[in-house]
Amino acid sequence: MGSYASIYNRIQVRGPFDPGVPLRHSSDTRIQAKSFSYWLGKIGDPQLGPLYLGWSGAASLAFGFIAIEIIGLNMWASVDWDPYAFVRNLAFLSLDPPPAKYGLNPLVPLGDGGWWILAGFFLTTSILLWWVRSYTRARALGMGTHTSWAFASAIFLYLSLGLFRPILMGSWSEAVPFGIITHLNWTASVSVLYGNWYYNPFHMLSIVFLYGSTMLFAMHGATILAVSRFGGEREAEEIVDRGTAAERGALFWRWTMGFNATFESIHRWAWWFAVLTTFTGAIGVLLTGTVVDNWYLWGVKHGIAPSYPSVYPSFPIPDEAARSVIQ
Amino acid sequence: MTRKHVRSSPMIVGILAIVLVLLGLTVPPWVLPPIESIETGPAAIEMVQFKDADRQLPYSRRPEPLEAADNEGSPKASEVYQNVQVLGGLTDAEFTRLMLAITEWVSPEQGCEYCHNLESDEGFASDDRYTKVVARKMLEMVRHINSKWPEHVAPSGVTCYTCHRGQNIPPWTWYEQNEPSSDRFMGKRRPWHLEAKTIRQFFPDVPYDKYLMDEHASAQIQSSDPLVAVGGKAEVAQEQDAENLYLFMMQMANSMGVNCTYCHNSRAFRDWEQSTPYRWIAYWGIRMARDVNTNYIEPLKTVFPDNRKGPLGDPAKAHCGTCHLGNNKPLGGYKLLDHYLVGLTEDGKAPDPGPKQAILLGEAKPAAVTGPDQDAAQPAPSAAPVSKEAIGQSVAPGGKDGGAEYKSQEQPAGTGSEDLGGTVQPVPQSEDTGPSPPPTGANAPQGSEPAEMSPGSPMEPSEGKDAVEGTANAPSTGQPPSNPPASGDAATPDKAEPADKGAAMPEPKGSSDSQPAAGGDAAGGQAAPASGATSGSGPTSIPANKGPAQGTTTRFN
Repeated sequence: MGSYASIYNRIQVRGPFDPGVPLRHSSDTRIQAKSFSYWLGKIGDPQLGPLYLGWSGAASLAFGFIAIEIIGLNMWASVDWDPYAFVRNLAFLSLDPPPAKYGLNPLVPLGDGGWWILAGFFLTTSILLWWVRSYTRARALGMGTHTSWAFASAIFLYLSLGLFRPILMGSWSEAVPFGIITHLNWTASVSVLYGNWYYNPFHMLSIVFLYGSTMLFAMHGATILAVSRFGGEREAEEIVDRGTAAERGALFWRWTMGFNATFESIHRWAWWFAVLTTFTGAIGVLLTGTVVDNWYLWGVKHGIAPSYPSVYPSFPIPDEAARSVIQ
Repeated sequence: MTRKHVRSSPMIVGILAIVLVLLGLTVPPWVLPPIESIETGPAAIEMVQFKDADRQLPYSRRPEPLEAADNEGSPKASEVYQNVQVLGGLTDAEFTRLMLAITEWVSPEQGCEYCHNLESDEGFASDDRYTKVVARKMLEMVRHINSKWPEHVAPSGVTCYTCHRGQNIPPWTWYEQNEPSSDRFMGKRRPWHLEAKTIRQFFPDVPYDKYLMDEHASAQIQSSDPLVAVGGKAEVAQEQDAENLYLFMMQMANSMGVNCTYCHNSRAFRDWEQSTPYRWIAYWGIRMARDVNTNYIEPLKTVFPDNRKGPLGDPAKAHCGTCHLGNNKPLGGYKLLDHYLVGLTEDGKAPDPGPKQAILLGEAKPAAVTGPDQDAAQPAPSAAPVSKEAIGQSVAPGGKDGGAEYKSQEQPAGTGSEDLGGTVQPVPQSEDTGPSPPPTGANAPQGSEPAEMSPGSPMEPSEGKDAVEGTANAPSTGQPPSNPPASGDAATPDKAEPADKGAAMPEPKGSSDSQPAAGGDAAGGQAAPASGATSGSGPTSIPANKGPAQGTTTRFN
């Protein structure tokens, strides 16, 4: 345990193959691939498998594959099936949603955004099936479903951007394109279009929870690593039977900041920060264009946008009419 | 583990890491310090331009002007040559000098024969070559720009060299393009998609023709209301329009080697009252480019041969970079035109720096103050329509607003503007207190005088400043015109001319007799934001020395 100090495991525990706990309520259809990996053992458990696919996993992979194919082949087609150009320009290639003239019509010509609708359908189905998989597997193991609901929060943000807000706005064109640079361009344009998204309080909250998540992750990971020489990585036991690792970790934080989360509550802190990152972000998305048109002016109205002293003398705002009269 | 056992993998990994670090340090074209930073806005909001003093811009060579012509006894060019349509009024000596200069600027390798077909019977008078017809139109264009667009080109003006830089075709131009579609990647001709070098080239040029021709798209993409209109009427543009404008604005920034905050306070791009005066100069620049493209370049469509035209058959047109080429002042403000005033302007005078100076030095009065009586033309003031949500958040304007009657103090006054929204008004300034002393020392923005128009740039019109003038310096930073200002330019909104160097210096308004442009009296104070008609944040129109102290947050509730 004293060597639990670097980013990788210096000790690899290699026993007989562990098939996992017996399941109570489901037939065991796990794929019994048995193998060990030295390199996986550097960063985690060296054992590979057993793997469970199931109907939801298989369907999710199939739908996801179709979605990626639609996106990738559309991008490849846009460079005239030139493999070199496809790789070189990959970051700039895009599959765009239908233009505004189609509104919410689902029957759009394929080349004019229909492929985007199809890709979105298959990708969404794939993601939802993966969620089902995360839920059913957790239940099968008798676990809680915390992972599933955290994943659901991220899916809610994804659907808000690509489905819910476009429906509220009445047009598919409001959605995000599939593309690396193009979805970043969309983000920048939409922020400016709605009067500076940084004044969106739900965007602010989302950033708080995002940065807070990274900070909590660092604090928690560091604490556990630091007390591992006292058995601190056995967190579950320390929750119910507080040992010296828990005592020392807690005292450290009380010394440094006067308060400590417990071995149990720190995980609730981290879970809620992570979940609220995407959840508050999604609310900010859904309010934009449906309730608030200009977040900067909203900020001015509610006193969160300070005014700055003018360093320039006043000057007249040019008027198109001024010159047209003269010329 | 024995001592003799030597592990080799850490050494290999270490050596590889060192090699990678060395490659990273040596291969990329790093910009080394010092990097100069120039603030263009209030302190601590990071409106700042960065400049690398060592950076060499492309095509930045400054040609020497030719020796002055000896006009004594020289006949008119029209008497010596046939078919001189634009420059006939010049003396032969001046005409020849200008022709030599144009040859050096535009076709230094091909010489006179680039435009003149000397083998034809007509000799120099021949219009056989399309280049000569183009050159004639371009001469008219240069003369038009120098005489009619002082708001943008004063004081240096433009010459052929401003765009051509010794090349037959100006290095930075644009063509109309197809909309991006599946058969053409980003509307550009193959094999462009294999040849693009910089990230900028991966963005389509499609937006340029939306904003740089006479028939142009609106740049008003943002809503002037915080909330969605009750009727659900769309006040925000389509996302694609926003992206087009975004690409066009990136073209501007790239052309001038500046970022957004040179002109805008990026937290509220649309708001003129938080913008710098450079936005005013750029505003006229966009209109100048429209004028030039529509009235001078596009008509040459029939003259140019096919190999000079773009994919849609249009001639190469101008955007901001065509003149600027990465410099916020083309060629650093080099006044080449001053040596060729006779031929390259319509009236023989350098562009009038008056309008631009008035803007930068704060002497310009809003049109509502200097123009015809606006009050007479305006309907009687009445309360602006205001949504129920806004009531309670709004602030009634202070002062004498023409005796407007309010039903309640929560209603804002009519400002004569429909799209102001009427929800937010400037914080009333107390009328009976005198102007507070200008902030000094730590309170003053960047330690400057409050009326100084560009923090960090020199105010004194010192002769020595020209030599060290940098590329990112503010245009016309207090430098008085070297030419007498042209009088009576009708395009000038403000007829006030800087009287002399002393008067051109802005003084702290609190200590001078001059009336502040806005806020000094009720009429001016109300008219200034009203003419803006775009802002929900009034207080920035308050002159600096009367505004809230630095760091003060003004709340609207």
